[in-house]
Amino acid sequence: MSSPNNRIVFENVSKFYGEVLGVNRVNLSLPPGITSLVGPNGSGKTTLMNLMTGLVRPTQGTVSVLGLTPDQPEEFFRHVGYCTQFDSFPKGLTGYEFIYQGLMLRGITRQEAHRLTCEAIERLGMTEAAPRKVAGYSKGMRQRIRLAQSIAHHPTVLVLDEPLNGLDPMARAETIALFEALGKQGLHVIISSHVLHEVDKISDQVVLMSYGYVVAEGQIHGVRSEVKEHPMQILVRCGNPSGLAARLFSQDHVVEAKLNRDGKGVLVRTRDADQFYVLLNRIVVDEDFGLEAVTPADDDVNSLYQYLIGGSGGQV
Amino acid sequence: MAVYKRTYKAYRGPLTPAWSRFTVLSRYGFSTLFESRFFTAFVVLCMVPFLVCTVFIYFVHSATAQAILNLRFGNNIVNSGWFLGFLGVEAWLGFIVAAWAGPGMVSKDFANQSVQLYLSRPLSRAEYLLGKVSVLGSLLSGTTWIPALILFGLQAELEGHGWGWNNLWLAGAIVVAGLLWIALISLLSMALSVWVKWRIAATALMIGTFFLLPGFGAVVSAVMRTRWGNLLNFPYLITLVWAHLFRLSPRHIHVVGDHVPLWAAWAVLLAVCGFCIWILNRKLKAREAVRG
Repeated sequence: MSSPNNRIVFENVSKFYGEVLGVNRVNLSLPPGITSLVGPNGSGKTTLMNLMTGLVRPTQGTVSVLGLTPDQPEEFFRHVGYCTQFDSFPKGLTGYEFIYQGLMLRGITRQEAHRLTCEAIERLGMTEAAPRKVAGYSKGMRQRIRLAQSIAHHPTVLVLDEPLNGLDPMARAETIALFEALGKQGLHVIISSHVLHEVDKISDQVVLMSYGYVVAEGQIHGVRSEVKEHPMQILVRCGNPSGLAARLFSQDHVVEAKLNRDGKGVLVRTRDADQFYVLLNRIVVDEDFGLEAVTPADDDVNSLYQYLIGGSGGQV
Repeated sequence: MAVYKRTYKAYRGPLTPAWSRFTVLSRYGFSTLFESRFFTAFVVLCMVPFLVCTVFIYFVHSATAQAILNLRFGNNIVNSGWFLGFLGVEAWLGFIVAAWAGPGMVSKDFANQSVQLYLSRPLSRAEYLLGKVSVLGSLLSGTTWIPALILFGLQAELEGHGWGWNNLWLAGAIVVAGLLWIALISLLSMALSVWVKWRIAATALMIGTFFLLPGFGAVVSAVMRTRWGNLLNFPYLITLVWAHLFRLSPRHIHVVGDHVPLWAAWAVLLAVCGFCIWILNRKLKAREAVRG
């Protein structure tokens, strides 16, 4: 378990913009790794990120990032890198200048700033485009140069507001691989994204938000197990699905057993997944159903989104 | 439980002093402004009155030069009135510089939503503004009180006989008058650009404030038969304050009706500066609002 000084901690944090609610009574303690913020527009994701990066101050409560608060800006901003969701660039700068200027503003010396700029540009594959003005970049290139500026100073907390927007599939895959690598190295990578299936693949934990409230947080599987009102769906592929369905349906915790249209599987809805797996083990040992695969069908962010927030989860 | 390979190293290298960070913004501000040839040419043009006045002071003190050109200047021609005239010319050239450069400094950042990017670094809102204002402040200082002080030094040197010491108050008046003008037009151009977030509109408002508002004030004074409408005439107010600083009578200042009291002129100018700071504080936020 990570120490309190290695976490991003929100203690009873509320933020109101006048009478408009940003976030309300948020209590979070985020460990290193990739954390996804998921929620519809206006749910408070960006406010939460702005609070994390010290751009807005909470109306109530306290936020600390690795034990630091924005009242210690020198040390705080040394650790935090932020990539906003806005297509925002100071006018007239080249890609190189954009990153270099940012590093100089952080107080990094010229030589070091040049070295770190080149390193970040290379990491995001922008070496050829770097001497050109940002204004002439494509949307994907702009997104990448923004990512480069957010990682250039080697932050330990990387806050990325919809970082995958506008990236082509290749760049998306490369960027996700970069996040995964950074997460594995022990960084806090906080991502908000509307592309839930991608978030699902890379997240160590997820924070679901709705109307300014944190609806759920934790590891996806753990959160899913807590959602008792929606029985877990498990897809079992086998040669004799109707036989298996008959055996399973006799159990109390199995709410529904639905045969697949292709006749080669059964979708089971159970209130107790752990008990179901124990039962399944027993059944396949007793009788040969030609079992091919067992996969959770709704143990993902998309399903959590639908259950806890409602609406379509594919593209929020 | 996840086992993290802690191979990642955060940057721990040397840092520049925190107080100097705003100069990064100033440097980029200058380079952006001087990318324009017109602007560069205009700044050079602002130096012409200074050169002309330098030559003039030389002629005033050179009997040989006067003899060659068959000119004769009276005694004490380079006095506080002369310096006020020089500062007046340079101030209006400086106004054009401010109306050109000022609104673009902040409104472009607003239009491009890049304020948030700046403020997610160890840079406060005050330092951000300082970085922007310092560009205008340096440019305007270079066209107003600094050349005036150089001329003062030249005059003191060529005149001799303790002229410099005897007129040291004039040097103070030049600096205060210049800084007051710079503060007024810099803050006004910044505040207007933060308010309307559009460079062209901010420039138009700036020009309107200095050329249309006095007309409105004059109408108010004439119709209401009062002198208080003149409080809307910022060029008049600044000239009134300058005249006092340069120990000159305000009689020559053209105005509709009577002059307003000096304290009222100071109060309005300081209130305008204060109001601009209030607008900047209100509008310059580290967050962006998503609309729609």
